[in-house]
Amino acid sequence: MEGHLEHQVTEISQTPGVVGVICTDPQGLSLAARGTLKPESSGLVSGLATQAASLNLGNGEDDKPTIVVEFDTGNILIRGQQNSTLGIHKV
Amino acid sequence: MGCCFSTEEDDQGSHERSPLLPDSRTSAGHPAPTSSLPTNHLSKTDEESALNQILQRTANDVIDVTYVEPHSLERSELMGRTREYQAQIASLRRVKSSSAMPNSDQPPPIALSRELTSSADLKFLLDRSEATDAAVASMEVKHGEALVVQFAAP
Repeated sequence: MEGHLEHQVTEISQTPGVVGVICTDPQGLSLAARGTLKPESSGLVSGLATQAASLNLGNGEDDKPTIVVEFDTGNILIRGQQNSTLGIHKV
Repeated sequence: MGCCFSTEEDDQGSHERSPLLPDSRTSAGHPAPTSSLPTNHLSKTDEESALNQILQRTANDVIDVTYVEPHSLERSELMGRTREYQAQIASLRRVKSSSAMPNSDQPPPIALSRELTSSADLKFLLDRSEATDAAVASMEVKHGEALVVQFAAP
């Protein structure tokens, strides 16, 4: 069940420097969220990963991009996978 | 402050003829039934002095802004302050706009060649996203109740 996912997300959120974590499914549904990354932003995180992946034309669908959104208050790292998208807010 | 006879009686405390609300009775213009004319006159002066004290205390507490402002601020000083405030606001806007684009004042080769994110962060993200993806893939939805329910069956 979702206990394993909750454990993973909690572990990430307790890493030094991490202030927010979000995990979404490919459709943008929020599966788990911690800290500064709220469940309301799950659609944006998933959408960024999907749109960035669509830029990689003709190089195979398995090559997933890593997106870094830079803010004054830290970076949001986004990585899409086959079944989920992970967003991490690091300061 | 009392309205009956003298202040000595007031100091001694209440008796059967002392009014319960001496201030309101005298201020409303209805003297106490036991007070004679000179005593009433004396109480009125006491009341006036008390009112004056209250008025003076209120006047001391109140800060009349409309009275103070025009006399304390000259026009030149007002213009000077306006310029100072506008300069402060403009400097705040400069700080805000410059911080919105970090490292924008650096030369392009330096700004473009710097490492945005450390390789340790990228490896951390990659490892964690794979672990999370595996956790999501292992999730199953199990039903806890019957999926088919008799509805409105006789």
